[in-house]
Amino acid sequence: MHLRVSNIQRGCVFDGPGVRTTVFLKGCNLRCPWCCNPETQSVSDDLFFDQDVCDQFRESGSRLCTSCKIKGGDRDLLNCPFCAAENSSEILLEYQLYEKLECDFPLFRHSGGGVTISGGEPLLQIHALNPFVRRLKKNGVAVCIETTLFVDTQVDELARQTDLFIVDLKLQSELGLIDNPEYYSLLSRNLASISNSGSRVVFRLVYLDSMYDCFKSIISFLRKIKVDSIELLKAHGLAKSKYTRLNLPFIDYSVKDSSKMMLFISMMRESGFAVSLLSL
Amino acid sequence: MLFVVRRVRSIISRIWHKLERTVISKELSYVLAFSRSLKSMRINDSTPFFYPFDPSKRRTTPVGTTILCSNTVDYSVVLLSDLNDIKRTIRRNCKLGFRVHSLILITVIESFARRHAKYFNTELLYSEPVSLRDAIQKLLFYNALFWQAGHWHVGLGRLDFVLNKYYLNDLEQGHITPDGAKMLISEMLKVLNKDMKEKSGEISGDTGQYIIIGGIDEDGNAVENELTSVFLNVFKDYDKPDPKLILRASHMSSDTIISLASETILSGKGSPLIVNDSVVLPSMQSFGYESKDVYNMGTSACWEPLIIGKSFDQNNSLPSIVALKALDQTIHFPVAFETFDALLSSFLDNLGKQIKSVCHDISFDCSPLYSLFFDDCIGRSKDYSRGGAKYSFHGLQIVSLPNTVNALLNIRRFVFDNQLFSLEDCVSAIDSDYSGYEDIRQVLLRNDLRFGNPHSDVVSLTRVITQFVDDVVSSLQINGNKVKVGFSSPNYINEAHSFPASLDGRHKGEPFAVHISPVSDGVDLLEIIDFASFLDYSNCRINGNVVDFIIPPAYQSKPEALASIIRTALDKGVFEMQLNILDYDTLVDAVKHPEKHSGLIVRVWGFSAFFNDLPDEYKLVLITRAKAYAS
Repeated sequence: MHLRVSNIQRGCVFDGPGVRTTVFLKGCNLRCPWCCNPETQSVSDDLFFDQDVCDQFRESGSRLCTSCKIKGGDRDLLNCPFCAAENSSEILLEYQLYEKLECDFPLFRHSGGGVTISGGEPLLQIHALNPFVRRLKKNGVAVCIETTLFVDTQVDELARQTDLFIVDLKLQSELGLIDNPEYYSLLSRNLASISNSGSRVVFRLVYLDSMYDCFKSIISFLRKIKVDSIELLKAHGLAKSKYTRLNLPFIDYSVKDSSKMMLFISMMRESGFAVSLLSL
Repeated sequence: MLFVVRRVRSIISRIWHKLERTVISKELSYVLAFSRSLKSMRINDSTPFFYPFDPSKRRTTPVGTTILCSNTVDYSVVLLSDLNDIKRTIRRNCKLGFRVHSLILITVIESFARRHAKYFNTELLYSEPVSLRDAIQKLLFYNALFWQAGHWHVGLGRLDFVLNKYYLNDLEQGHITPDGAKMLISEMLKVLNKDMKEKSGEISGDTGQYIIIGGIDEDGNAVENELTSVFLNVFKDYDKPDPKLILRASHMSSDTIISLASETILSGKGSPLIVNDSVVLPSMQSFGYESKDVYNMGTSACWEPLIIGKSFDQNNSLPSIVALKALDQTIHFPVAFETFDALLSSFLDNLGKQIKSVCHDISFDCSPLYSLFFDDCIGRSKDYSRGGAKYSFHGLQIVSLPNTVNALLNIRRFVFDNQLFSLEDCVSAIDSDYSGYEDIRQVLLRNDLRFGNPHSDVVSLTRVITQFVDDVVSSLQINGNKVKVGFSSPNYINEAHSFPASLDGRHKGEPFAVHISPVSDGVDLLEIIDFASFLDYSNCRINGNVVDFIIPPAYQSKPEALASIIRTALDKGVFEMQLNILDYDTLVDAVKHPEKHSGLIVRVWGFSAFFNDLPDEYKLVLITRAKAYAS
């Protein structure tokens, strides 16, 4: 079975315990406007294309551009010698992906780390993911899945093999999911499956400026799904260049009012929630 | 009458100096000059330990000889030494010439010590100290004399190993606590640091004053004692760049020490440099050091391995070999290369010639003072630098290897494989320093196959080059002895100043890459560790091979993550590793507002320095690397 992989990042320390390799799978059923991995959203082949690089050399009349398709030649964009274009993903067979990760198995052992599968939404590729995770577990590698759980699929088999789920809660008003019964239903059902499997769960929330005013609805929802501890991630605008290269509109959702964010955290704690702020 | 007396004295002095230069042996001349130096020096009695070093009066190396640098006496031998015993041995066993100057030297030391008996317990010259304080005092006394005698980069060696028994003795007697030991060690560092600028080479901080902790003992057991932790803790809080710390680590190192080392590195002082005993010691043995000696491995000023107390190894006395120069010669050769292999073969040929041209015999200064303590000078009745020391394996260094590998990878891909441009185009580009050829330069910079990437093509090309270098160096000698070579060099800026542009995309005059490190972004720490672990360090290739990297900000708040990475790097087989903490914004601000960053310490080629003390070009290299690695 194959997996569509957007990126493999080694040496991650904020995607689960220890030092981990994070595999970003392509494809997501949401379009969070603050997403810092926009290349993982679409399931189809995207190209990163750096227009500035292309313009710089094409307009300067470099002879290295004459055979490019943009100038009427037959050279594919992906063969640009200036690397103006690159694929945002690749297809890998499950064992091929495994082989790419093997070099860090000693580091996982030393650090108590492992492989984190993120995205995008990894559950969209659950049928290929199951055998891959099975292989990892068979070889003693700890597995973490980073997911919204907002997917209508059976997670039981995956949950039995996964050590930790990092659940990215989508409670931002911009998405409108907090009042969406389907969101609550799928989240609860999948959480129940995970709970039955015995996997650990950590809940994460990306903080936006808008959330301060939605504090009450947020804690109400958290209580509904019986969550009393969250990790908070401050939204940032570091992915702007990715949006530009994907020709996608970019809106800067980076937190402008940090003092309100700290107040939000205090209010959460006073309401009985354990909140830790992740600084990346 | 007074005029006549002065005139006669002046004439006698001139005659004497001429006799010294022409008739008296170099060793005796050394002793006489050293004696004069001790008589004229001013004593600083404000330090917690007596440290008789006056830089303004130190003995100068005779013209036409090369300074003795980067030597480490075995301080366990020094601490056990009894000058009376040494005198007896010399009288009984040594040849006349050696006997005469050595006995005079000992008398000079004794007289000097007696003159300053109010600061220094002269009994220490004749007996082993009992307390940690006395052990440190005796160590510092002789250390100061080594500097005063005109030697440079005087290493301190394995101080947790050497001083532990005195610490334990004090503990048993109830004379000290762990905090007390920490205080004594801190005071020792202060004394050693006192003359940092005067002890430094080109750049303040480059004193060669390294302290090694960890490693193994004669029986192969790990050396990890309370002092090992004390040194790491002291260095964590230490606010000066010198002395510096080196940790000899391996799979035997405990998690406690690796974690403490990780925290110390993250404190930003540039220490410790990590030496991988599991790789270095077998490599030293395969080169030719005896197996019974390698346990006591130390280093030159920065990282080049030697044997403490037995090595006269001068590991960087010759100019570094600029690998790019051989490539530059190759591509400017007026003959077309049909294949990349043909070009590579020509490059290697030129590199071999270059190595041979740099390697030659050296006339070194002597050291009757070192001869009193290094094996086997007294036994052989020979000066330390004239056949007395057990080992005299001098070293060569290659600089610009990463740039060269990148340039060759570019030539292979873009000239021969893809035929994007010709070699003539490349030559035109670098001859004009890329003026009018920025497109070619940008292509060269964007090759994803680059030094540090553990891709098999990169590793195999690097191994071909390093194997060739090893083959050439294996055939060479310096002063009748085998030669070592390393791929780390301090000369990545000096040698690059006047060097033309190169086909890795480097402009004319731009510094070369630092040690075993990526030239730019795109290769992360784990990749360079994998890459370095695939290289071959056997035979001659032991003269320092340092993975040099800037720790990503993410690890700075996670010392346990860094500890795991260090542990993994040791297991995978890196040779040596030095990790810097550099924040781009802080460095830029330090250039604009140095007064706000007077305590900012950074790691330079193999030592730490105050950032403000660095020449501008070194600051720029660090800023450029910090920016590249942060991305």
